[in-house]
Amino acid sequence: MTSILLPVLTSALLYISFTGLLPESPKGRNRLLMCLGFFLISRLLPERIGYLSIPVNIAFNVICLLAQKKNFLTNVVMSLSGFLLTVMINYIFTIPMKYLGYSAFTLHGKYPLPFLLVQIAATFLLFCILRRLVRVSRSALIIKSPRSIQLLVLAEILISVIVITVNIIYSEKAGYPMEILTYNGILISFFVLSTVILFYCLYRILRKDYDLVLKQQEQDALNDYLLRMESLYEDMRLFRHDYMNILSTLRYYIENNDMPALKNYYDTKITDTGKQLSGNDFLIGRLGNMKITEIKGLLFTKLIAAQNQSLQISLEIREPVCEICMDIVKLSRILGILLDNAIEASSSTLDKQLCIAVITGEEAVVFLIENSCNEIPIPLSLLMEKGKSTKLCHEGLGLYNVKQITDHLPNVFFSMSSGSLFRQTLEIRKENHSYDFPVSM
Amino acid sequence: MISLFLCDDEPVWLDRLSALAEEAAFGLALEITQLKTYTRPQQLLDHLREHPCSCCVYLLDVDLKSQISGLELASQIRFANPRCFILFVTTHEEMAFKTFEYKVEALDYIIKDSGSLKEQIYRCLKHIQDLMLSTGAASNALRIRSGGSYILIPLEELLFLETIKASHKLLIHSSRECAEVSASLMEMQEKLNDSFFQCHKAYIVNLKRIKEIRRTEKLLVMDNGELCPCSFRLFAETCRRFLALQK
Repeated sequence: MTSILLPVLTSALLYISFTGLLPESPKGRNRLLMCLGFFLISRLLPERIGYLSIPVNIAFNVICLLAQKKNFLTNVVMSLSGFLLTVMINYIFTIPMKYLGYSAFTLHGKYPLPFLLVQIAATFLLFCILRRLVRVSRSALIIKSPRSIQLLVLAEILISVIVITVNIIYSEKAGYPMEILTYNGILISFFVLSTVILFYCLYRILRKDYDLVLKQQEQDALNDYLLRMESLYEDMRLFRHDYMNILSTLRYYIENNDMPALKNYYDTKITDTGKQLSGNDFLIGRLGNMKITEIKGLLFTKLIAAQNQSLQISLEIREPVCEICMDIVKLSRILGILLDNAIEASSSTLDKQLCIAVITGEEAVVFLIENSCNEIPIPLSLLMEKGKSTKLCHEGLGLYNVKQITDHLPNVFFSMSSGSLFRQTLEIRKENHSYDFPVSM
Repeated sequence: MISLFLCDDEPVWLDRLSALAEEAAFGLALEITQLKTYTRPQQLLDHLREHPCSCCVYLLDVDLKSQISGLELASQIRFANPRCFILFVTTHEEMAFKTFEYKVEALDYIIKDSGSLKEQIYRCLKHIQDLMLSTGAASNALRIRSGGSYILIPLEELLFLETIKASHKLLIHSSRECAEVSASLMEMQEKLNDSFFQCHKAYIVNLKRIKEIRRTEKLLVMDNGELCPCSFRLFAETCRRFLALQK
């Protein structure tokens, strides 16, 4: 009985320690395969090769992560960190146990049952706490940091793991005399703790860095916007100049009652000047009413992208928008996704229409995005599910992410409708408004 | 038969538009019972107060150079007459049709500095004529307030309503739309008819649009492929009502 139970519990411990800190724990079949692998290793190997089964477990874990392909680097770093923390807990419990008279343990020896259970519980608890504190999904930041930092983090983790594993193997060979155990325990805990603190500081620095990068992008967009405004101003100036000339010429023909010349002048000169004035650059001037700079920058960037796709764009912001009752970062994220979708869908049609309107009312600020689109093969609400997309071979995460954000905001409403044009509506209600009975027939 | 009201600060435009409107109406065999023009919005509002009018057509300039803008004028008219037709007259620069449509349910627009004024007016009046002819067959529809405006969904297009727990919102699934509104299932149930049944704590389904029922998974498959969950408790009742409706 115990020959089965102990490996089962050991594999549970290994599974928790390697996957506890992962941003996304393995699902279904992968989970089963990992547990099975750990079970087999714990059952078969310790008797034959002893503590070398530790590196085998680590290698097996890395192979499983490699098979998952997604976020390999992040997963390796987080799972090995989990392993290090488990070793630290192991030492924390081993030392008092040793004082109490229990024999020495290895990570893969024959543990007494209670010790194993206590370790599983403690590890699980620690990881739950850590997940709350650090919000492990943010570890995906590692991907966004420069290559050199990624390699440094990976190297640090690998070195730590190698050092600790070698330490365990040789300490065990020496029989774990008491003094070594105690000193080992203290040193390793110290080492692991300092590594954890180091990584936490690195995480904070990376986040700040990422925020700076975003700020820089926003700054660049606004600078570009300013340049366009200045060139528009120049166009306006030239136009006024022409306009004055035209008026005085017209006056001359009128004073001399020269109708034919007047007609000729009108037909040639004036219609030409009229043509100068239309064009997408004037649209950009309308961004003046969007007083929220982050959104102004975002809309500007998307308008330029739309122009590059030769879309027929219309932009309406009739009244100034100064305040929105929603976190601007979340709003930027949502609008970015909606606009990217609209631009991409529209550019693959013949009509290539794109219409963006920001409508301010007493109750709400509404962002309306309409685009021409080809036939949509699936029902609209399914577009918001993970993995569903009108594009082939695409992840389909955009609208899913939007829904994730809006589902937790009671004053933000996202709707879609399809017809001759595909319409997306984002309504952000003003907070201190009480609503009348909303439904009627 | 329509009454036509125009409001523009420039009399030249009023004359021009009236003439073109009469011409277009003649071409469409549409009778204009009265045609009034105003240069000031207040005059139009005063007239309307004394002579309320249903089924009228308003051609309003956006920039009236007065205290009341074209849009404000339209919103006052719309408030008094939920069923009239509002058209905006404006220059290319000032045009913001989506905003007008959203705020005052504007029907159409005419662009002053475009060459084809005649065609535009013709198109607008034809649009109105078509709408007037089809309103007779108006079916039951749900009119829900959504962000300062209303959305209208015919009942037969509704598939099911879903509650979003975390934020107390309602998601309406219909044939052509997927709209979030602020309402509760209870409020909605009162306004819907018997072909709608609350099959789950968080869902009301349109029984007429269920294609098949999956017994083991307790799922209702709608005719467009969407899936609506059904609770264990209410499953039997849902099936019963569905079958009853089939007859």
